[in-house]
Amino acid sequence: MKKNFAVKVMTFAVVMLTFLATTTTASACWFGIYQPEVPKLLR
Amino acid sequence: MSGVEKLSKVIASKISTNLSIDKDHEEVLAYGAFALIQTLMSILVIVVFGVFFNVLMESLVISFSAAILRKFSGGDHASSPVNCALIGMIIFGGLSILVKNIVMNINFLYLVAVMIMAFAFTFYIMFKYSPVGCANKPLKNQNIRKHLRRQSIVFVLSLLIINIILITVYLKTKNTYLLSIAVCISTGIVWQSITLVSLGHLIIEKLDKVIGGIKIFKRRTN
Repeated sequence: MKKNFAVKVMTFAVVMLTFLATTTTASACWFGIYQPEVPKLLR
Repeated sequence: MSGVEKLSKVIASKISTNLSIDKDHEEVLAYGAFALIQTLMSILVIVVFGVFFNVLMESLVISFSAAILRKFSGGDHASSPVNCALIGMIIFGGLSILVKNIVMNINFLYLVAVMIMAFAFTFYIMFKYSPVGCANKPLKNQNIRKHLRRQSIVFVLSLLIINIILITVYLKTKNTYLLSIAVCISTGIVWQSITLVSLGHLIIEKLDKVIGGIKIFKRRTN
């Protein structure tokens, strides 16, 4: 039961983080004034 | 590698191990986690500064108008996420104190003239320089560059319409809060425009060096 919940939370995190990464790559810059290297998959 | 980058890599690695995700996708997750932490950290620092100096509304409006325009127009960068948050706090905090205590005491007609000049300057810079890439994210594709420039101009145009509405309502209600928001929006976009030219590069570089120097000095004294 607990493991099932953890998997659901992590799956939600994957969706959210992938969405965030993709939308930030589509813009010219980061929210702030620091820009990390863009991952290979999103170049 | 900064602490924020390390933390986002740890989060991505934990998720990838548990859900059997490949290395390439793990990098994407770390990038997303970094975006989330960096954004929250930058906002938190500005909120704390705003509450402490009683300029919360001003600092949030200035930082959000500058940060959203930055997403389309790019600009100069700090050497680490912590420096980025601290430079943001110094610049946006300083500008909000300036707006609240000095700019808002200027005659209304002069203020409107300054806002018109602010928008004219921003439009000029967006047409001429936007978007500006960096080493970690060079913007070489001409279609993407055109698209981002168009988005920058559309965003500034939307802010101009919002400012006109705010000033019109201010003239009818005499609510200075609305005028203050309009001034903060103009300040935010002017700062973002400055970061696209050499003056902004110089300011960020100097602040980056000073903050970096303070961190090294602290580490040595500990």
